[in-house]
Amino acid sequence: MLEQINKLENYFENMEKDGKVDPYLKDSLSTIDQIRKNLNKLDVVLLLKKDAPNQLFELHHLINVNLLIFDSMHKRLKMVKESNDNPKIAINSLNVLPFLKEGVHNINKLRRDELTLDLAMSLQMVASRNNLFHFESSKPKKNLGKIFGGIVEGIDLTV
Amino acid sequence: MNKTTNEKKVIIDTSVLIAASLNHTSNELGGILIQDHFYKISKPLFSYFQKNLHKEIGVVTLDIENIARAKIINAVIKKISQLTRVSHSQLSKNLNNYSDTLMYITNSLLKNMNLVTRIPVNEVEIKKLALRAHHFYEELKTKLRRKNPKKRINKRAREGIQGLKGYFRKFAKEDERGNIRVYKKLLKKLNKNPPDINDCRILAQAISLSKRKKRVAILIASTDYHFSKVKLDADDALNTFIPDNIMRNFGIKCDWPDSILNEITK
Repeated sequence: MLEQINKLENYFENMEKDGKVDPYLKDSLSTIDQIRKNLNKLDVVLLLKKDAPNQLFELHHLINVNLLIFDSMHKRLKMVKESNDNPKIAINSLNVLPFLKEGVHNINKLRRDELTLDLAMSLQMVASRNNLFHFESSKPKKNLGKIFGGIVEGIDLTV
Repeated sequence: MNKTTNEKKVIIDTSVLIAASLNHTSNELGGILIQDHFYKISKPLFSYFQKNLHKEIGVVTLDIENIARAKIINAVIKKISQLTRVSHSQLSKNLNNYSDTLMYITNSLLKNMNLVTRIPVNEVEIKKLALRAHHFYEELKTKLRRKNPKKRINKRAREGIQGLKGYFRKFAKEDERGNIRVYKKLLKKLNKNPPDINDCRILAQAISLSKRKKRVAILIASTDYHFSKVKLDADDALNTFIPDNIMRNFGIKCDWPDSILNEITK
């Protein structure tokens, strides 16, 4: 997957440099599709592991964040001509790709460490700042509210 | 405030950044009720920053951002650790729900961070100042021990009229009853939950900013008792021993976000 991301990086660099989208658009879209497929496959393998739920969660969340970023990238690329989004899409993506590489490096090995969730949160923030993270949960807010309430209980604001 | 100036900068401590962000998430998720008073009083400060973005009043440091994320992560992991191993589909559903919730929280954190300015710090200076902050907290404990009213009670009893010393002790004890309770509790709290390296570093960053910006009053908005007033028991008044001493030693006002908002809008 790292190789695919490197390829993608090249396409974006060329898009920015040449000021053209056409020679790279089809290939970049299909590369993103491949990356998304690989991420989904790895997620399935991950969730079959017998690790503790909290350990599974760290990588699972990182994969979800990565998928959402590639979804946004894909959507913007598909609309790039109509929305005159080049070179902005290229610049935004080039800002985010180094962090994506770091994430994918962990995901590829299906190995978490103590910074995996921190990386996922940072990645989401960098992508949001570059207009490459759009999220609205499809799950009922009532369910998420319950989970949120549990998380809040675990935070002491006085220490 | 020591500095005679109108310009103010408010360092947003981790506690307030988290409180305001979770309050925002709560609204996003349909107004889930969160009981703690601190969540409600943190939001208006950020609303004020939003309306006065150009003034760049609210500031954070990289440390504060990192600690905020770490605290949220710990709370999430703690909760997920309690999930027992269930069927594959159930586990995957649970983890997805947690993932979505964490995305909402991260989004809120980012929204609030966009309303404040991240200031750079000089790491060499911060290390030195953090050590100074550590000594300051250690001295506070000594000060607290010295302030222990027992000595004053003994003195009044000793100096009382012969034959009536018992009464003098009783009256002195009566007068100092509140103090005995408060100082014991605060000392116990400081021993049980001492300021950690992060608290010392945040205070160090405030001192550093105060030194750099001589004409600007530096305030810390925090609900952490290592900086701000604290209710030691449900029936006690708010104790300001720590913020009073921070003010006296470093000229930095520390308070809850609602009081800080009053201070900057005066």
